[in-house]
Amino acid sequence: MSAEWESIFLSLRLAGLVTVMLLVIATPLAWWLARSRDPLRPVVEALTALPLVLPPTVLGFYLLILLNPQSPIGSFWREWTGGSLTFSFAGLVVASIVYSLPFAVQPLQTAFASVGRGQLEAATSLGAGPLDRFLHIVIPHSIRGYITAAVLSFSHTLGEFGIVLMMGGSIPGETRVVSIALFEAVETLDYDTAHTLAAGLILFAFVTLLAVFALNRRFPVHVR
Amino acid sequence: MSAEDLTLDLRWSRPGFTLRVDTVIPAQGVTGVFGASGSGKTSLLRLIAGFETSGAGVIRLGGTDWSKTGGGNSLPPHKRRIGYVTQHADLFEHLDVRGNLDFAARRSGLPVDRQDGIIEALELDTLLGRRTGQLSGGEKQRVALARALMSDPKLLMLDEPLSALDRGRRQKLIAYIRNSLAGFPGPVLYVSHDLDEMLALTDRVLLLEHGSIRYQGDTSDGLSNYLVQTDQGEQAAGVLSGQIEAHDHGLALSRVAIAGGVIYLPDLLDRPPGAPVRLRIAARDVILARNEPQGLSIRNRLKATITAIDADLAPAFCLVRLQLAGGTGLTARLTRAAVQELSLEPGDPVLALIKTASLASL
Repeated sequence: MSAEWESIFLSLRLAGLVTVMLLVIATPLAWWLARSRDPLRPVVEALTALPLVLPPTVLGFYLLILLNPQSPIGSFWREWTGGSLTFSFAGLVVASIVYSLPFAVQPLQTAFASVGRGQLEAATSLGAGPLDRFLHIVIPHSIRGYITAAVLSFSHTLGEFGIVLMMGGSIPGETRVVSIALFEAVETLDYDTAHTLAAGLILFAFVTLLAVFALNRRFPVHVR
Repeated sequence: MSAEDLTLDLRWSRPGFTLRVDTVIPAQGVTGVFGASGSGKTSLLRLIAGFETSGAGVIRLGGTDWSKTGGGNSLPPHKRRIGYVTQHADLFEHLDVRGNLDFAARRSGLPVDRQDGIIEALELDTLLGRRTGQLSGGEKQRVALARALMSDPKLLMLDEPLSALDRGRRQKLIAYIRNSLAGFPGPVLYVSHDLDEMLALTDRVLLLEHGSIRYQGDTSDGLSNYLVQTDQGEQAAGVLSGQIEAHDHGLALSRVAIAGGVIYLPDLLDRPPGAPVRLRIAARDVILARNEPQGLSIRNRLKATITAIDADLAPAFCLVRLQLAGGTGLTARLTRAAVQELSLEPGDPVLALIKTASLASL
């Protein structure tokens, strides 16, 4: 397998894994943010949104400090798995989850907040408990939110660069993702490879967005 | 007191408002909850449903106390088995009509023949495949009522189900609601601020004012009293209850016996003889005569005695309080000039003439 393909598959694997994990993590977080009247809510909301405004290098720097093998988290990970959380694929997954968190949380939070109280109370009076209501009222109502969250998380992870450079370096098959490979191709004046990677990413992004918008038309917005 | 009566002893406070309700809602018949907006009608229902908490008190259906179960916690709302219909219908937008009904039926395990009975009674067969967004306001309420019944509830609560509808659709839906509530085995609470709905659909009434019960008991008596206390000017009215005796299909009129007389009413042909009927009669639609008048088109003539003559808001008018032969009260709004000309006095016997067109059947 050529080096270009290796980096493309690595990027897709990373983005896919991160997207699935983010949807799982963001669902309860977004639900809490959408429904809670806890005074801590704005604090959590601001923390969640931080990656939107910080330069990726800032995040990368602190994650490097937090996750390196000498840190408590890094050493625990090392004892548990034998691997490292820096300059490794596992480390990229953790970093990408932090970095893309707001892109998963915010669409879900908006979708959850738009589920009418009346519908939830109707479901309650019809005998549906909290989990039942979430699975059968909230999630179907929020399908568009889930699609948006998945697409944004996936493409944002696919496109990240600074944080990967700080946290992962450029280890082929481990941390050398498409954006890094593209950067190195340009640095070494290998414009053929750069064109292939860059044009491929543009095409991929366009097809994905097209598919999403086409799909979204099939799910009407439930406005209340 | 039967086993499945709903016993309430509630106290619930919000800034500037306290709800204080201590009563028993019988399993038989429909209990109306009547009052102005802000009187606590909806809060009362939400407390019973468990959607509002932090209230102190007792909510007991039959032998089960919902407010205190084992461990001191109240019974969670989804285990209370309440059919709750609101003015917004609150249908699930991501499901079609069938899906909405199934949502309830799957969780209650209602047998299919009873499901079919509900669908038939509310005439939903042709709507089952529709998305909820394609339904009219009246259809939405019928689906919401059917869905509530599908959950096989022990208690039914309807909160202003007709308030989002125009007058014509209301009349149609009232018939559906009346039929559905007639066979319901448990307590029914029907909230409204509309007198006509109360008279048409409820047997008993709780009159709420600023969160407290002003009156509870028979709907006719309660609302007559309410009307007497609040009536002024155009609001003045009386309430008559009666029973259908016979129909004249040729003339499309029904003979209705009331205490102390007989009146003829339109629009009742679809209801069987023997069915109870209530009427609200606006005071401006009542005319008084000293003697049996000749050559007059008004057919409904009732013997009455004047009990009092009260002042009205408008200086040209006064309110003549009457008692019909059967003891029922009625009010006529006349000009003071007419009262002087006929020299009407309390104690005088008169004939009360009521124009048939003004008798909206309930």
